[in-house]
Amino acid sequence: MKKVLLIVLSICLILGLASCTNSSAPSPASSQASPAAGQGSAAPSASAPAPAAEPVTITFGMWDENQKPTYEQIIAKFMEENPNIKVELILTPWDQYWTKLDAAAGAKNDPDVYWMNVYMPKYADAGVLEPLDSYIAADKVDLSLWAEGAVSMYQYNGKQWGIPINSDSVVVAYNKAIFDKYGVEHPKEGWTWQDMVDLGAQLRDKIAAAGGSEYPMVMELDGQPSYLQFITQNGVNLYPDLQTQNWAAPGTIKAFEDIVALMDANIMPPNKVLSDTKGTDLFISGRAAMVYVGSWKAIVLDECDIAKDIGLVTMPKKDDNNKCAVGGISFAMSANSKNKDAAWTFLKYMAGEESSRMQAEARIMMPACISAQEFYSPQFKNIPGEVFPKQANISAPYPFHPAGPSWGQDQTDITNKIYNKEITAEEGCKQLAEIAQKYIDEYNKK
Amino acid sequence: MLQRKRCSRQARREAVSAYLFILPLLLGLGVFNVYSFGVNIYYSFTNKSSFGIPNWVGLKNYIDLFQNEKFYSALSNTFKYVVICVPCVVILSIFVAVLLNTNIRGRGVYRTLVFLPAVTMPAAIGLIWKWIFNYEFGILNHLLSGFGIEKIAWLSDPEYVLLSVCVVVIWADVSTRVIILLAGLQNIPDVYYEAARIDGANSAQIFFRITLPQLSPSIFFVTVMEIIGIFQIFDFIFLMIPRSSSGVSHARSLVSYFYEAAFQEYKKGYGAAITLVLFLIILVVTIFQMWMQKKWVHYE
Repeated sequence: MKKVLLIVLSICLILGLASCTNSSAPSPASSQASPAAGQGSAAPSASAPAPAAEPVTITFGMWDENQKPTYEQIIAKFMEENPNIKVELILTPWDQYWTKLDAAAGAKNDPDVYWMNVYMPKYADAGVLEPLDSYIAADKVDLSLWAEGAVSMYQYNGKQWGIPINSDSVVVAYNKAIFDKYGVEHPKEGWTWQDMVDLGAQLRDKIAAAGGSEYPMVMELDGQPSYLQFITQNGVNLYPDLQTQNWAAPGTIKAFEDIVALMDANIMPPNKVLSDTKGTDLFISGRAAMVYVGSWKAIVLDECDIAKDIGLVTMPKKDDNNKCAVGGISFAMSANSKNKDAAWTFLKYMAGEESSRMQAEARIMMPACISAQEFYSPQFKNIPGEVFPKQANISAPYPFHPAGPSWGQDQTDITNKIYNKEITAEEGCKQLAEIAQKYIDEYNKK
Repeated sequence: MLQRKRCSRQARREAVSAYLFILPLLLGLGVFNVYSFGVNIYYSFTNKSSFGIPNWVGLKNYIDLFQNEKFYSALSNTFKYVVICVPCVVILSIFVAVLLNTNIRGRGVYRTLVFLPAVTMPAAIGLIWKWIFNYEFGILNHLLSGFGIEKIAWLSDPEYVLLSVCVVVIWADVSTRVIILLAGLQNIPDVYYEAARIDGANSAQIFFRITLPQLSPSIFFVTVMEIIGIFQIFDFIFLMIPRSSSGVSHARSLVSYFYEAAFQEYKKGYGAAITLVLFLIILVVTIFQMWMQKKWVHYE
């Protein structure tokens, strides 16, 4: 008797395990959306026979936690207007976002709509993204309502793969209190790289004379807010076409030499300091007088303790120009989506004016939707936020190659070696050119 | 005759229910360990990336691997971790276990303090130490500056980053190893100690002649587990040193290198090859230890 019971129980256990894996298999992503997940997985099994009166559920993936509260509001509003579509927000931190997206897309489990950035060609090539042209044509959506550069960033192989959300610009923020304390003139619009070096040198000397401990200048040396801008501003187009790269161009080498020169002159602290604490964090804690900062940090600047002392100015003109390599993200749709019409309705709303306006008013995004742009700058309480769109209008395309992620860590390792002075800028750039070209050739062979 | 038959039938029934009991575990092991291991070997000979069907490329991944400077630097870093961490963890945990086994006052408090890291999440440990080690705002540099020592970039300076990771690993690992050794100590019969004391042995003699040999099976187990664990070191490196840090290339272990290749650069076939090389290294080292144990491990 006992044996029979045992057998029955163990079979139950196995079945339980099996059904467990079954029921969680279609939605590993939704288990991340904590409170909703429990209800989500319980509901269908309880009311399986119920007919199609239930709303369609679609999922939406993003990576920025700071923007989650605003997105929740926008989504709530969308669901109010579209009661037959239920949207689940899935937040995955940036460090894991692409890893998880790849795994999920491989298993056809990716969110229906999600944030996409310059990595787009990789996903378009893999057939993971749904081209939006037919939806755009069917709904007669006018793409000229969005900033031109941002729209063209998501065109590839003659198709539109995303509708832009925002434009990211980089500007220079400075701490007026530090400048005034040491009696140095504030940076002025129309300044040059040399002006910046001179101001830094004055600050350095006066800080040293007064026994202060602030850094005249800091940077985040991981690409977008630093060297990618300087390479662009030295007049170099890093990837002029899909076959070549310009990592070893004189302008590229010069960009890195100029960064190292700032460190050598003690205007900027050594790399070990900048690598340990983000430049923006040093700046908002009052440890630094100037920083190159991206518009995605605007709200952090506006709400930090020293917000009232922060001045903003467009980037200084480097060897060739003061253009900003404008980045930005878009909403893209998964080719695996089972509810493409609902997904498109949601995507269109998210990229549209109402949603863009809410994002602008929350200061989380400088919208790509032109009619919503006017709501962005006036929202800032302390900092002159209008400098971000001003810089975004002096723009250049963001340098990116579809095979780029393959050498991402090499790029980080080698640039760090240059900053650490383990190798010269010239050696580093030559190594990078070689590695990048190798992957570019492999990419073109496919 | 009848007796035997019934017996075997019963034995068979028992065997069946026993297998049913372990079936859930076997299924899990089969899918997540045995099957995945086989697939991993296959992938190491393909160009598997994020999407698409992997193509057979033969030994290309292994050839690339052995020509890549990064592989050798990760390999040498991994050996550095083993050489620094394993002796420290083993010796420290023997020391702490012996101390905790004596009748000192407040033994419960000490035990709790020592075991604390074992029940703390690695993520929490990593994040807390990251702040302790921070160059600009970290408490360690703050304390050191009290002694007039210049600030050190513990997690970004190529000279220090590996040692900083070792400190955290040792601190975290000692606690779990102490638990095993403490159990081993309590299994040593008191009669040996009584006899030694009657014969007039001093504490040092008792420790080296009785405690250590009697504890050697536990020490052996701890050493084997620790070596395997350190060869696979990843979590604290991943948690404390961000991708963009200048410490990355000097702290990179083989598993970190695998993670970068497979999940950040999407070269999964290449990543699989790295893990197989690591597997072979651990296999050889463990076989060597099994062979060596005859020389120093005493089983009763």
